[in-house]
Amino acid sequence: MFKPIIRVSSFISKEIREILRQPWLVVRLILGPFLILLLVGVGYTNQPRQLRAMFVVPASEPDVPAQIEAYATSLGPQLQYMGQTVSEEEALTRLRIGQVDLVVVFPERAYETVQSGSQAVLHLYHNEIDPTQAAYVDQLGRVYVAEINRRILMLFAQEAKEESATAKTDLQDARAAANSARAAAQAGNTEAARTELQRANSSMDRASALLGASALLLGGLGQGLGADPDTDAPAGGEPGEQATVDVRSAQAEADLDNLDAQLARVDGVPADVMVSPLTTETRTVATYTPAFVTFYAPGVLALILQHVAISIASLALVREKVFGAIELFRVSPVTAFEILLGKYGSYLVFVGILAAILTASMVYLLGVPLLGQLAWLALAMGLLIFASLGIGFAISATSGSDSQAVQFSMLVLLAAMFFSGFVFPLMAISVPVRYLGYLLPVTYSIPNLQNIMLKGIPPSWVYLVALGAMGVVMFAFSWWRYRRSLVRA
Amino acid sequence: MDAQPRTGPDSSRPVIVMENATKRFGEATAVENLSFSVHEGEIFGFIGPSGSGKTTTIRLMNGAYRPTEGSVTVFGQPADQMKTHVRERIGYLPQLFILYPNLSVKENIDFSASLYGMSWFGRRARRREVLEFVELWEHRGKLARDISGGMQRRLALASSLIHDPSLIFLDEPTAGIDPILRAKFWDAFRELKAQGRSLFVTTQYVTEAEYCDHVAVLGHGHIIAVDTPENLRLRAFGGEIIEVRAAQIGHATRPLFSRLEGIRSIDTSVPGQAHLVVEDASTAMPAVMDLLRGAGMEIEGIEPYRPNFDEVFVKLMQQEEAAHV
Repeated sequence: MFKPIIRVSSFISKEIREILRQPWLVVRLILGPFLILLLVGVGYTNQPRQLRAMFVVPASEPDVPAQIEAYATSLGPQLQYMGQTVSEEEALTRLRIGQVDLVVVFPERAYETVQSGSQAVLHLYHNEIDPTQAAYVDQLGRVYVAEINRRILMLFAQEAKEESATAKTDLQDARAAANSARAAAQAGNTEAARTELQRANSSMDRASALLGASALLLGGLGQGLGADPDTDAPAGGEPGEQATVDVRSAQAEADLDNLDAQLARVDGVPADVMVSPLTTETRTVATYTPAFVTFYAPGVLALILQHVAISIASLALVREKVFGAIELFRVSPVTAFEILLGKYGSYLVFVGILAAILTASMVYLLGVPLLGQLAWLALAMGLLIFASLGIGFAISATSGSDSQAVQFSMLVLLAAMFFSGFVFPLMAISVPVRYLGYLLPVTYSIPNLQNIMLKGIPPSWVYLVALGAMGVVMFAFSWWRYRRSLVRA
Repeated sequence: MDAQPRTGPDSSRPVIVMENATKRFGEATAVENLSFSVHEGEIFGFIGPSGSGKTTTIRLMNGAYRPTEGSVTVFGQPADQMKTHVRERIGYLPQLFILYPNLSVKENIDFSASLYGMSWFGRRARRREVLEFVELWEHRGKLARDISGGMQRRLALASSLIHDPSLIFLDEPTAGIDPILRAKFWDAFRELKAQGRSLFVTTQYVTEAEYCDHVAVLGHGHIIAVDTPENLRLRAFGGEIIEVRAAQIGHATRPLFSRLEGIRSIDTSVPGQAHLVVEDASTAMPAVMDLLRGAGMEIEGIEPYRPNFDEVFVKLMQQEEAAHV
């Protein structure tokens, strides 16, 4: 009854002893991944690339160079001002030989183009073949052009505000004149009333010239005051006319009050708010906001554990096949199931210890938090290792040599880099190819470890079940394949 | 080595029976129509040149291979379907060293014992027995990679014996080791036989056939002969051999020898010496002496000649080739 247990335990102790007898292997397996983690933490700055930009300015517009330099040197650290030239060819030559990263060509007669109702086009040239970098340059160009547009609009808004202040004074004059006209009309002094109305008209004409947009309102106001340019009939004179002037004056005062209030509102809005009325302010409800490196640390850990587990398991069976120990197993009473169980057990223990050491190093040496429960983490990592070992043993059971097993392991690592969501977001991968990612334990484990460590929430049970199912299927496959190797030929 | 108490071997009881066993790998035939039996408590030698099919045969018997045709039974069970309790009675020493170089001598022995389900308590005493038997007890703490080739071979032998098997397959156990160690190995095999175990030994060293109870000679995947070493000798030369020495012996004396009654062959290739094959040397020798004296020759020596097994093997192989031609 105990014989199968003894046989299984013989493989557990044998495998652990063999690993421990190779101290450099142990050092490589523990220190290597930790050094990678450390170097990522120390070396990655998450700083966007700085682009060396050269500007081509139109020779016909002497004011533009100074404005461009002022803009270019104040647009932020991602743009390094490398000077300007009037020769587009010279700038493009420097771009081609790598002296600059970006050439910005300003259009001729930009002001006139805008005045005529068309957009002036800034041409951006780059020399990138990396699609990501090309997209970055394009995006950066758009952001900077938007910023320049915003600044131009701010200038316009500022000028408009200054003009509105002048218009406001004129309107106040007009209102005072209108008041005087009404008072004169009520006193029966028609001549004075006419003079005041003329003064009011002239103030409104100036305001009208300044506030083109309000001309219609002002026109209406002028009519209200009897200053319709088309009808030169004087207001007042007769008692009936006096009453009419009185009413119109009161209406005009009310309209002027209204316009004044509108101008006051415009005056109260700062130019930058007028140009960019909406802005964003993002807040998170997460209890912890990790730095870039901290965010990626659980993913790196998952990737390392998967790779180590697959690597050592992929060599486990094929190595004994190659050097001949399988011949002893064929003759002895040991079964494929017992051998696999023993090897699983030993590697689970070994990679589990490695996981504990790496996690402790991350937490205590790199400062990565562990906000969730340790039991969740142990469960998530245990299932990751179990599923990864399954893939490793499946590779081992189907490989004919050590080198073939190593090649397969490296292919899985490459697939994990690209299809697990570690480098590219999973959602950015098209659906048929994305399913490849779901065949990798790390795809489920990266979000699991991030949730546990950085959010403090339990792992996804769906992902845990997926990992467990993957491990069981891989175990069954490895068992089936290995039995065929052991079975009498 | 103290053997466990076991009942005496019954030499009439076969432990291995091969009947017309053939093994093919694709189109290639490794061995063909092998038929012989190995009986309890004997050393059965399997002799053949390199590539003749010795290892294939041993793998057919230990269950690693399934015969393409024919049958192989071990302890009454088909070799490729042996139950666990039958496997536990089998020991196997493969041709190559396939133990773990990063484990110590003791750990390798423990691992082999565990494969057969021996508990820690059960194997503790036995471990010492087998390691002392192969003279490795003093080296038990050394890593297998750090011991000599001969010691590795002895370690492999100890591993095959740790679970106290009653049938041991030894695939070229003495290949590549020095004559002193070879002699020690054969002493050990004889001791194992004395303990009642059955041994199936393959070897390229033809002279080792002398130490076996039965020998099968293999050539090109076929069995050329199976018998006791003595009977093989008789079969190879067609009878017993008398070596007679006299100064006048040469090719000219062949007609004289041919007058002998029951003479089967005459070899006078060495001047002054003749090898005469007769049915019974003891009865033929007086006649030979009379014949030579009658011819006026002075006999310097006359005695039965026992050819070594190299000569027997070469003779058998030549006969096999001649038969094929």
